[in-house]
Amino acid sequence: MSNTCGNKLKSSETMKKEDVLQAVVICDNFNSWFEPVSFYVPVPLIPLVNSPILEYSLEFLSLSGVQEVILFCCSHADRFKKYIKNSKWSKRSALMSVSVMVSESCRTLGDAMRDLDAKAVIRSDFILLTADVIANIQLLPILERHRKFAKQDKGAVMTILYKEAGPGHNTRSPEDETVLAVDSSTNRILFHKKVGQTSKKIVFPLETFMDRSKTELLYNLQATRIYLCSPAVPPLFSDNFDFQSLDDFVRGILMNEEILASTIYWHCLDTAEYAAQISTWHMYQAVSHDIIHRWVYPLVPDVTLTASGERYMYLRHNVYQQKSAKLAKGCVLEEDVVLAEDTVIGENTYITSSVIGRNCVIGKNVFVSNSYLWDNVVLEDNSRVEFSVVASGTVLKNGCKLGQGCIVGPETVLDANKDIKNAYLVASTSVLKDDGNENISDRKIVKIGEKAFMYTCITEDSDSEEETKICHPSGLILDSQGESEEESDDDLTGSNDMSYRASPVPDDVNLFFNEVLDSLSRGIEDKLDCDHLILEINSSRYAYNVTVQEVNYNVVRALLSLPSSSTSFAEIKKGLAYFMPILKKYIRNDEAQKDCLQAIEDTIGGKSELWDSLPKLLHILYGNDILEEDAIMEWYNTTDETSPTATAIRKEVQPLIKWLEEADAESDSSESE
Amino acid sequence: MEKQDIVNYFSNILEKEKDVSAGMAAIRTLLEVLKHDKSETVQELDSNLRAAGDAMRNTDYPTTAVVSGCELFSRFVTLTNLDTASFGECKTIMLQRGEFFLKKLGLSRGKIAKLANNFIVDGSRILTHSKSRVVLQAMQEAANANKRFEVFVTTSSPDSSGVEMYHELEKASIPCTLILDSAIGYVMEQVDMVMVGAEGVVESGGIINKVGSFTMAVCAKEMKKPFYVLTESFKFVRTFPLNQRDIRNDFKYPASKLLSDLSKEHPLVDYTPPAYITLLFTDLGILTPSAVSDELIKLYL
Amino acid sequence: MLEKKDCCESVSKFIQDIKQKKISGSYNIAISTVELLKKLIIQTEWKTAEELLKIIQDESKHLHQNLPLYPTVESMVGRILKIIREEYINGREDRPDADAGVIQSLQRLMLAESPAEDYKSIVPELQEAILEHITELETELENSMFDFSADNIVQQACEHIHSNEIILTIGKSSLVEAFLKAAAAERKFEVIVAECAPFCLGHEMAVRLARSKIETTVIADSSVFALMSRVNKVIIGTHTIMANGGLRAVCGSHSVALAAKHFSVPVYVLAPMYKLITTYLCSYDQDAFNCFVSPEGVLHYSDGAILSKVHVYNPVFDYVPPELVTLFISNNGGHAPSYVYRLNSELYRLDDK
Repeated sequence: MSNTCGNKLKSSETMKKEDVLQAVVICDNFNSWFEPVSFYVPVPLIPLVNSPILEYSLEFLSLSGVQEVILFCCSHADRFKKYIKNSKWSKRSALMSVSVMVSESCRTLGDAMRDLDAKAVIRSDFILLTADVIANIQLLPILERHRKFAKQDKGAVMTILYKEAGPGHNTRSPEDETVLAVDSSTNRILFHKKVGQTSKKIVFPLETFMDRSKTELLYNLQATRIYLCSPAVPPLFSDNFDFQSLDDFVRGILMNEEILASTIYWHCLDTAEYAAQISTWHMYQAVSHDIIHRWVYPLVPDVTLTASGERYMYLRHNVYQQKSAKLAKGCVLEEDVVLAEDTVIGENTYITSSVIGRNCVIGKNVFVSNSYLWDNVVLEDNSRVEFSVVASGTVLKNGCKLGQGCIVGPETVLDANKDIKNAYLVASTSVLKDDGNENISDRKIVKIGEKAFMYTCITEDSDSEEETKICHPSGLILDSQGESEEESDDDLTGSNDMSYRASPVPDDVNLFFNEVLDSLSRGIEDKLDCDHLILEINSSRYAYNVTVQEVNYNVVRALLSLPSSSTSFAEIKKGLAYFMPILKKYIRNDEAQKDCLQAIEDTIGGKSELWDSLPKLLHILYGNDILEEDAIMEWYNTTDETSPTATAIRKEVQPLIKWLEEADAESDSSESE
Repeated sequence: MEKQDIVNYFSNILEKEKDVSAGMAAIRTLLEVLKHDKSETVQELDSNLRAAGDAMRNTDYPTTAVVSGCELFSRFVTLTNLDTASFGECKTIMLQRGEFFLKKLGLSRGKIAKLANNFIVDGSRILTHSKSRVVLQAMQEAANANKRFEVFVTTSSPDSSGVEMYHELEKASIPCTLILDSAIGYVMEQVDMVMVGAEGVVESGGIINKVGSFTMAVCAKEMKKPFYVLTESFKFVRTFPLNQRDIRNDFKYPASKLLSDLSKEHPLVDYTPPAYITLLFTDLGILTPSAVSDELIKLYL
Repeated sequence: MLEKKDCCESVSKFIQDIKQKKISGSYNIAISTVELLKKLIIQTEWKTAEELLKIIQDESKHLHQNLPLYPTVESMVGRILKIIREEYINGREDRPDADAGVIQSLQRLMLAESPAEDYKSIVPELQEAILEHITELETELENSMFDFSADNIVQQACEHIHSNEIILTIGKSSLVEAFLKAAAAERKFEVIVAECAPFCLGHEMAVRLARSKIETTVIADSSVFALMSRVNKVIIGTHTIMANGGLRAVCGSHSVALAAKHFSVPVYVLAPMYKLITTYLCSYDQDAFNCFVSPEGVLHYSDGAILSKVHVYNPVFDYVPPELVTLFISNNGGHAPSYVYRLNSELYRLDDK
């Protein structure tokens, strides 16, 4: 393992091919995303679909032809040593050697890399990943590619792997949303930026585009956190003490390309290949889902990870079951369920989208959905667990309820009939204090049982609140909430479209409508000049090729559908006053007035709470000479008898009509006078 | 042994020991005959055994298995008569081996149950006809192996043997439903497989079983459900029925009715041709219907 | 002599190699399984046949658990276990009778005087005899597939394909490819290849056939039925022949076979004998019967949010019931599916599991 040996190998090209392929696995994620569980269990040993996460990483490395793995531990080293000693990797039959390297002093990944450099164990190109990476990639071809880059460009120090996944993909970690600019001809990374939810603007330096025939900007990538590194990487960390994480490293290299004379390349995984990092509970959930849905094949329970214990049976509806799991009559495993050995499930229990560990005892009439129960969990009769993670050895007494993203630490005992939502639970407060983490001492800890202490989650990043998906602070996606949100979305669009059901609006017109709505809402927010808005609307009109009639109709409709004006008349009035020039511009003849009235009828008709303000609205428009009396009268008299809304609306405006008629009569009489 | 003794011995076994099938009882009876036999030559012994077989066939118990059992036993006798010094010695060997043979046959039901067990998967629904001890044992074993499954049993007129089966299954706390014979078509779409026993397996690989089995097999074939037969190998019988009428009358009707007008009688068994049978589970292993004739040829050729 | 651990290592290496696809193709797997077992026989310490059987059975369990979907491994282990038993009985001085303990039959049931053979006595030169027998097996394998042109199956091509026929096949099978090419050397015929989505290996197959000047058409799997009426023969490969004569073949085979049945088109299945296994299909949901791979081919992973809302399955195999197969063409001639049980009892001892 000496450095000289490494140099010798480097010197000869032919030897290089036969070189032992090394991988460095960092067994710490240097953050507190997985608390309170991470107080007890090091993150790589957390069970993911009933096998420790580390097992997946090692299996992946072994399958992809890595021969030597260095596990780099910064804490819990003894547990890793023990784990490796008892695993199949230390058996003589194992074809991959796994050694544990300990460095207790490391606080960041940068420290770890510097330590690695000091220890000089890296001999040639190596694979760098954290122990929480799940993948099924063949690394050798990619490594070949990396070597090709290195041959062409002496400065190539790293190839970063990315997986294609569209925005909104569940397995995209919100923490890892990245924008990448790459040179398409050389695959070099030119620009790399993590996009927080707060910043909407990204500034690309001009060099990104200069002197390049083709530059790609990518936002459809999921970070895999697998890096192919040349041996120059650890020294680079040593030289630059401000590199704390790999993101620092990438940023530093890209910013100081000339000084450090290093470049970074990227590789997009083949569509059939999978890779993801379990960085948060959200990713834990997403990757579990992907494993159960077999995207990570062959790293699925029934194929690979069976060395320990009996094989899983893979049954219909993605149900995985080990033979010794006992099911009572009448219990239902709906779909996406994993049941490990020796687990006992009582009568009339219902389980869906969940993972149940070994030796669990689940009573009668229990409901479990979207949850992760680890080994030896006891759920007594009538309990209910939803969207939660329950660590090993926890006991839930009769009738307990856990919901909406509870994270329960090991060995917790919850007394009967507790109903807990959205909280962290631990068995004792000692771990919280020991840790010396100031964050936690601030938190309110409530004792709810002999062996149960609860504290609610505090959001550390305000970013997550702005996320589109409703996320529990712990990161678990609560689908039921997400769905209800979607439903409300549907309702909104539904109300807009309600009157169109009979004759659906062609797509373009709808797009146009949305465009106009956008323009207007921006206009009122940013106080834009109406002339500009008219210009915008007109260009949209040509872009979507809509008729004048439709323009008139949709402008009025958009005006009334502005988010601010959806509820109160006062808001509508404000909007109308602001956009009066626009109305004046579009509603200029009889036909336009007809469209305008139709739009009002259709929009207001869908919102009964605004019906009473309709006469006022018409009056304003009348007063501003947008609508003429004749047009209103004509509209009033052409009633569609079949539509109750139409009749009701006309009834609402009766006072106005009367007033108009009177005024008419007066003017008539005055004329006649 | 006198004829009456033989019949008594035979019916005694069947009445006292509910768990023993007619075929087994016949073989045991023949062994008893052999024990008490005083004949001097093989020829004489053979004719004695034949007479005993005829006597048993004339009882009102299902004859098919008795016939196959007797045939097998006489075959066994002829195969055993080896070059020993005296006939008496030969008989002792025969008795010894007979006991061993019987013991082995006794184990066969367990073997079959084990084989069939693999086919009863968690959550399956099984239709069965009439009462079959081997099917019952297979189901009991599956239930003991912690498998959850549901059984439909036909009442199986005229003797309502299905009701008996139903009670046995209830006793083993296997969820089951008793259905009318005429409801076979109705439940067929809900079940995953059909499992029946057999009174006899014929040379073609088809089976002779309680009347109604053929109906069930045709229905299963039409609805593409597998039709499994669980049967011990001593029920293999050397006959080749071409159609239903071609089955021997003594198989179809109780001995007491044989002399009356058979056209007015209800047959007790029917013949299910091999085309309707998916697999046969026997103590010789899982056989396709075409493998049955092979076994029979090996034995009787 | 090797330690137990060392033999463990070579078995693990073998498993790993197969998993990493360093050994691929059923023929290569068959050969390397035999080599592995030979190594076990030579290098481990055993005195009686019983011990040897136990060693191999243990390893076979291990192999089966890790490679449930490689019938060739299972089949080769079965063949060798049977060889050991046969040689043991042949080698015993008192030789009870020729095939004692080999096949369980009704006859044996009746004649058995003593309990079954226990393989405990020491037989001189058993190892030599076994190895010699295994060499025979290897020759048989080599003859069957070492070189496609010399293959017994391929040599039968002209008996089954006639001039101006239209042959339909599905997906890619190197055996079918060699078979068709062999026939094409003498006859002119047309081939239709069903593409076999989502892996679409049929495309590759078609390209290769077309290169050797066979008139080839690629069709979508959905058009199989539409075109079946004009097809003269269906010739397919298979992954496994089940004990009842049914097939575990590439997904889509069942629909091809059904379409063929509907138009009374004969279905020929090319299958060397080492694809025959002794298991039955117990239920369609049978554990370890099918193999569900990543659904990537069906729905793209990059499609985003939809993935969390749908279930996507991508099974690799189909079960084709025996009644849909007309004939198996194997290295020792053609067999009807109803005859498979017989081959099974000839090649393996059925209780070796």
